[in-house]
Amino acid sequence: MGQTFRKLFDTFFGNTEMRVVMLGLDAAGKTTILYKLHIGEVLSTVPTIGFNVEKVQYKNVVFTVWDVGGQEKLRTLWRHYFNNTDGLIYVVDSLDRERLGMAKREFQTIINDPFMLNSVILVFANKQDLRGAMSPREVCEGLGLFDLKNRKWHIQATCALKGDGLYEGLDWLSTTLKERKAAGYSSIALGTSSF
Amino acid sequence: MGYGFFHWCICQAKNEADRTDWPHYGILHLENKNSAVSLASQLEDSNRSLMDDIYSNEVDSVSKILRGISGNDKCAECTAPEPEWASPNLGILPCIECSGVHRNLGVHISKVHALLLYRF
Repeated sequence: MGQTFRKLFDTFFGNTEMRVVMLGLDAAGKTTILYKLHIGEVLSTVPTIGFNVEKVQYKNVVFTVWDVGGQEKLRTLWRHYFNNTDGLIYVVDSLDRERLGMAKREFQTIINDPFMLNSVILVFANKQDLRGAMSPREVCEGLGLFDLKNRKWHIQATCALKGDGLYEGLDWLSTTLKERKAAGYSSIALGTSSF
Repeated sequence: MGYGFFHWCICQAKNEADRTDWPHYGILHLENKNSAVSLASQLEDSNRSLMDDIYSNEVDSVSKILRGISGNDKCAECTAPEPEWASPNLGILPCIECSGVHRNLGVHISKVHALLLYRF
């Protein structure tokens, strides 16, 4: 009885841990986002060869965020990070129209991987501060998000340098992941966006 | 491939000094892979063996050719030795630190790729 109560208490008030993998093409802004979330500052980053991992606490959720290098030949290594992943953060450089097709191909490969079928999808349409950036709707269409069936996804306009939109994204992630845990991982076909 | 690594760079020097400086920064005049071959043929005889490598180990050759251009043995920005990154649209090879700065400028200014991690 006590244990059940404790479990129930933890469900509502305790810290929940979530494993999140952050992927995207090179120069999308993954590392900048990770450190903006982790220490609240914009670090001068260099291209990631390998990965960075940090714990980010937001409200009562501790996200373990894996930021994996996005260089072309490193993308084959992404699948090694898929196992036991609760959520995917896919970062897109909204200014890079030329490579949106490539971003779509990589995105579709990730989400169709057997290990990722149950993970929720958060897309960051990053670099919104730059003139000529694609709107979240354009990114949505470019990635084929509207065609997704039985997946829980959300797109968020972000600017990693200012930190705009990052916590809104985490908010969605924590709410959704909690809902899913409570519902026992039953997937609901729904897409939301904040255009 | 999203966009080719090789394409013509239209380069206009503001003055004579700039124009003479540019070869030292290793401006690339490559339209496509065939141009890489023609470029290689322009290199000195000692570099002629590079052409044989193009078909056997393309990636290796491309980075070799780029490195072979005078001035490309140093980062175009900070002169650090042996740069392993490339900004094809600017026609320069920066080091990893400077490529980080280039990426911050946005893809409309500089598109940075790793020489060894990019599929040519």
